[in-house]
Amino acid sequence: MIQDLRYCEDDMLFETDLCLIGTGAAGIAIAREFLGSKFKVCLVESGGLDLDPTIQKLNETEDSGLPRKPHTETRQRIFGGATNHWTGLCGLLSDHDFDPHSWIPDSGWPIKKTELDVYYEKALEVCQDRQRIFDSRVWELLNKTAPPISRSKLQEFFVHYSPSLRFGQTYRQVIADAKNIQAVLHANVTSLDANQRATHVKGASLRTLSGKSGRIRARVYVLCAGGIDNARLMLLSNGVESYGLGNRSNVVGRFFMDHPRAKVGEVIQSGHVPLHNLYCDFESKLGRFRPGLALSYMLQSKERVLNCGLYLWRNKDADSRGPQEVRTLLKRLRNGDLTASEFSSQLDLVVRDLDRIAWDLSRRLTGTESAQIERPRLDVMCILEQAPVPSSRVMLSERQDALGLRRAKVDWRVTELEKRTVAVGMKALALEFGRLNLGRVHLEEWISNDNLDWTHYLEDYNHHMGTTRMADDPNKGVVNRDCQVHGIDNLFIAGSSVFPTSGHINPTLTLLALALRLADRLKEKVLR
Amino acid sequence: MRNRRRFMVGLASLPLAIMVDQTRVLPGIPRSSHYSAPNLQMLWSVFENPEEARVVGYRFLKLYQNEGPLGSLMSKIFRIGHTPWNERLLRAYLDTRKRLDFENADVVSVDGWVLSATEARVCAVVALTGKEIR
Repeated sequence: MIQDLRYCEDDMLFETDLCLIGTGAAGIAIAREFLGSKFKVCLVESGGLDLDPTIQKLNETEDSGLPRKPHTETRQRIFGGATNHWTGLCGLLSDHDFDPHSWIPDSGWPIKKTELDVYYEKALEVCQDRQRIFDSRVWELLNKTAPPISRSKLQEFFVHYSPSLRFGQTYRQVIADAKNIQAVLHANVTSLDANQRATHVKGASLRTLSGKSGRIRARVYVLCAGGIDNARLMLLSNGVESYGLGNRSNVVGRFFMDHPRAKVGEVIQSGHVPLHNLYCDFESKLGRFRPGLALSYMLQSKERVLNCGLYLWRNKDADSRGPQEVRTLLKRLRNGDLTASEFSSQLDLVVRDLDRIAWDLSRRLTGTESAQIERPRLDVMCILEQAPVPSSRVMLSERQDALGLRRAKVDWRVTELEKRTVAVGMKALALEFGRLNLGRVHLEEWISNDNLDWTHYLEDYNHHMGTTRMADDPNKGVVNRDCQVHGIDNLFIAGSSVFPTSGHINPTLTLLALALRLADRLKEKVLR
Repeated sequence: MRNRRRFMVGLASLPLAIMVDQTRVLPGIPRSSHYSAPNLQMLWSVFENPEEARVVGYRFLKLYQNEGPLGSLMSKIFRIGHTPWNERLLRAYLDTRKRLDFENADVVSVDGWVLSATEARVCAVVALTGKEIR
């Protein structure tokens, strides 16, 4: 059943076994696990079935750290949450991404990757992705021969384009038809109300933008509202303890991480291995892949750096526009409809691409494929693991949103370790590509020039992680290994906010695996 | 911009080193008693685009001023003596040296491009000897 709080009677009380706050990938994945069970489930969503700019404004934040894209664009208050603009990229964290690293303070998960393996499988089913292989075996299945890159330095990996499932659209009917599941739309949770000892959540207060109220009473609550709002809601729930719910150790909101990304260099291909056919996005009978090269664990530990993924992208500006631009230029010259300024800009494109034009011309003159291989210029993009540091954090701003709630204040910070990781990764790439005569690598100036503000070249990736991190020690984390908030018997958290460290891979599949694992725990141990 | 383009074209030509049959004998080629080097014409012939290689060489010499002069460069490139040199041997030797440079991280950074020290030095030799060849 899907309901709209705006059209319910005022102060309506929803009673349920399990309350899921947020209907993104985690919330819907957990709800699916309870389909047809004996437990009543209530999904609560701030938005509706369509994106509404007024509701999106509730996502506005105050940013005090590194600049980030506007949160009104990166988060979606709508049934299905951020899956409504998800690219569908699925990948696995590596075994070592879960391990504590002596050179990275506060690193490491309390669980091993093996505990997630079965849930990664299930997560792929939820995403309707049939791909199960994310390592160099992809080459074997496609009968491709990859260059013998030293695995002691760089490790090949693949992320797969799943069908970019819009969870809200895909599972809407299933949820609407389910007898034991109800979704309540336009219902903003304004606070979680705890008992006097702050050890048990008694209820959740709801409000619409039009001022209507409601309340949920559940046996168990799971926050699935994303890496910023999970923390924000805990901080806002300060009716019993002024520092917020589950925040006795002052960890809620801290260790905020994203995957910083940047263009870090270029590659000129040298030998006869067409790198762009191997390491750029490609379609195949197995689906669409994005291959990449990550730092090996050996190199990470030797150089005492983080992990990072390096991707090659065709530089379309420098690569393939030339011949087309020549034709456009000639045609428009013949037609006499080219202005002086247009001519100069067109000519600039042509001049920048003389090599490509010459190659194309010779191919057409001879009528055959030239023996010369196509060697497009490639950009190197880097997606970085971010060091978990407590000073990078989500707090409460003094500014209020339309509901009168304090907005989130995001202070995103990176460390010199991230920069050093880029330098180590690019050096490894340059040495390996050179050794194998695959190409020569250019490093962006900010990597080696300490006079440049390197953070200026980074951008965020909408992967909000770490703000309710997992740790066995209540003083070091917000949730335990079962994703239960320390000290609160019926409050759990799903989503990438529980990641203690992030690896470099897109987080959706991992957060889904954790959510499905949590669903099993709730069914087996908590709600039974 | 044009220089940058030539620099990049030069880089692209480096690893493609194609040997062509050039048997002209050049006058005034410096020789050293400390190393056994092929003649410069042979060295030039490893490039598809020697002019572009010169651009790379000039940049390298400007950034690494302790690399010159010519005799010093040649002795660094041809540490192991081979007599007599021929084009096949030269190509194999330079390929091996480049590979070893990358394996041993014996590289230089020229305007951000990571090059093997040997290939940068060969470019420098080409840059320094352009007039003699012409």
